[in-house]
Amino acid sequence: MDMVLQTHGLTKRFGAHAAVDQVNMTIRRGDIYGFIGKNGAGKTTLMRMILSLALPSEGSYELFGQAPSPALQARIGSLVETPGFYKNCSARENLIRFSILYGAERKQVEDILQLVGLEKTGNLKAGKFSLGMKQRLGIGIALLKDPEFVVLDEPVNGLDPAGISQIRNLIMELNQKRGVTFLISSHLLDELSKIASHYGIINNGRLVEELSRSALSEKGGSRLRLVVSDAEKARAILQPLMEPGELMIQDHALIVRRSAEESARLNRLLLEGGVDVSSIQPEQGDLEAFFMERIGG
Amino acid sequence: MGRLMQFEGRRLLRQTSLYICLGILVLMVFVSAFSTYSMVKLMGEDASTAIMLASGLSPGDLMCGKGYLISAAGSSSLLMLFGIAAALYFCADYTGGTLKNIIGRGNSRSSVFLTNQAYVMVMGLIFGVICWLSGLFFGSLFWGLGKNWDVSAILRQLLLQMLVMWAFGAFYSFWSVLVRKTGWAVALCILTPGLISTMAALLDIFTTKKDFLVSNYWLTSCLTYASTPGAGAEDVSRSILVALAWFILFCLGGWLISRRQDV
Repeated sequence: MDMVLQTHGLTKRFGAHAAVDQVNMTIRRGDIYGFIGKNGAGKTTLMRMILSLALPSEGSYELFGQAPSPALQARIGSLVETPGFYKNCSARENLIRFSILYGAERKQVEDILQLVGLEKTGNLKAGKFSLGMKQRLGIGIALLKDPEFVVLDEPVNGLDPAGISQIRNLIMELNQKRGVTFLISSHLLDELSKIASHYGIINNGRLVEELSRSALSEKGGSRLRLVVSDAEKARAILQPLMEPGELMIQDHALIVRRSAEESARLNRLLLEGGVDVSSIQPEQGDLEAFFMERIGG
Repeated sequence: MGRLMQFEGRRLLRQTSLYICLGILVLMVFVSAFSTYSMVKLMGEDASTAIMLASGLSPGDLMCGKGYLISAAGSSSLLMLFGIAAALYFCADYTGGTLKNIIGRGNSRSSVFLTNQAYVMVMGLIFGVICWLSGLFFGSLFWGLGKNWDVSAILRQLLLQMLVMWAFGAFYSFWSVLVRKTGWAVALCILTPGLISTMAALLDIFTTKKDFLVSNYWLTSCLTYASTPGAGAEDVSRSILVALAWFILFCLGGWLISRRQDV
């Protein structure tokens, strides 16, 4: 499979402190790579290095299987930290300026304005935009000239639920229809789990784990929520079959760290034990629990 | 690089502060010419004598379109306004975060710095030309065009003015790339030329060699010589070398700083 990004011992030090420490990360073409970490874990610093915004202290990286070059860099769209735009210009003027810089067709400006929902902002200066509108403009600039790889740092920051959903759908559409690869960091793990195909967990500058969505499910990410007549009795029935931490009661429901394939067997065991089961719902990819476990939170 | 030039060019031409500063410059040249005109009209011979003593030139050389064409650039307002506009232009990409969009798409720090430096020079040219034209216009309006037009001598002085303006442009770029904050950059661009001049003048007081003046090797003096009608050939030659040296030094300094900076 084509590599889009591969880092080799990438390190960034600020004095004695290593903000990013020996990171070996791999992103393949077509991935939506969810990059997770606490504040200050090193997510943004790593993103800044692969975009040439910060210079690595050690290590190297490859873009599209080659050593980074201006031509390869031009194939990457990005929104890192706060969106960068000219505050005294309208959204259209901002996009026109960057379309000149990136060599994008002028026609694409109108398409992107529509895509990010800013087509009706007219001459309103971008500095007067709401947080969500600024974020949309930043995403719009990142999408100019149809980049093959898009790096988004907290892209849904400041967006309302409708805006979040719109950006999610946009990412999915670009990924599925145009094969755009994404590297996305977000604190909204539930939101990230809806779109990411792969995950990287970073803690104190070190990449703790890289895994695919399916691997996350296998590693205990998936669980079942059973609504039963007597949760305590149900727990007593199932406890002998479970490892510690695989079974708990939450809001009067039983949470079992098992995949959906086991729901019939669990249902039968509970019925045989005299517990009525009114519903069994699979909860896919409990990313938050997995993340907390990996960073020791 | 071509697209970067086009992008930055559009940014410069759509920078509102550039037009505001140019407007103020024209106004300042008018105020300068008008106040001299009014003073001479009110005080007569006394004012002419005062002008002769202050500039070492005859009022006829100074008070005419030709005189104001050469001398208008010597006013402190030109440097101040150019400094403000240059700092605002240079720092806009740092403060607005747009430099991330530029560098992130494969433009090197060097090419960004050099492009910005090139446009600060264009800005210097615009300021210079507007200053000359408004000097010529208001000087001629109040006193007429003036006599004895030595076109080659005038051109030589105007070219020197431009060289000094570009050296100041490099100086402003240097501060802007160093501090990367609009407020600080504007303050430094306004204050440091005068501050360095004052320090050089103080050093002159304590210098034992009276034929060597430290202040002659700073850009403000070069601009004074460049904007004095009939300045001596030696002063003009030295000013060319000094301006060139500072231009190279500040360009090099700014470029080296920009190369290693995180964005």
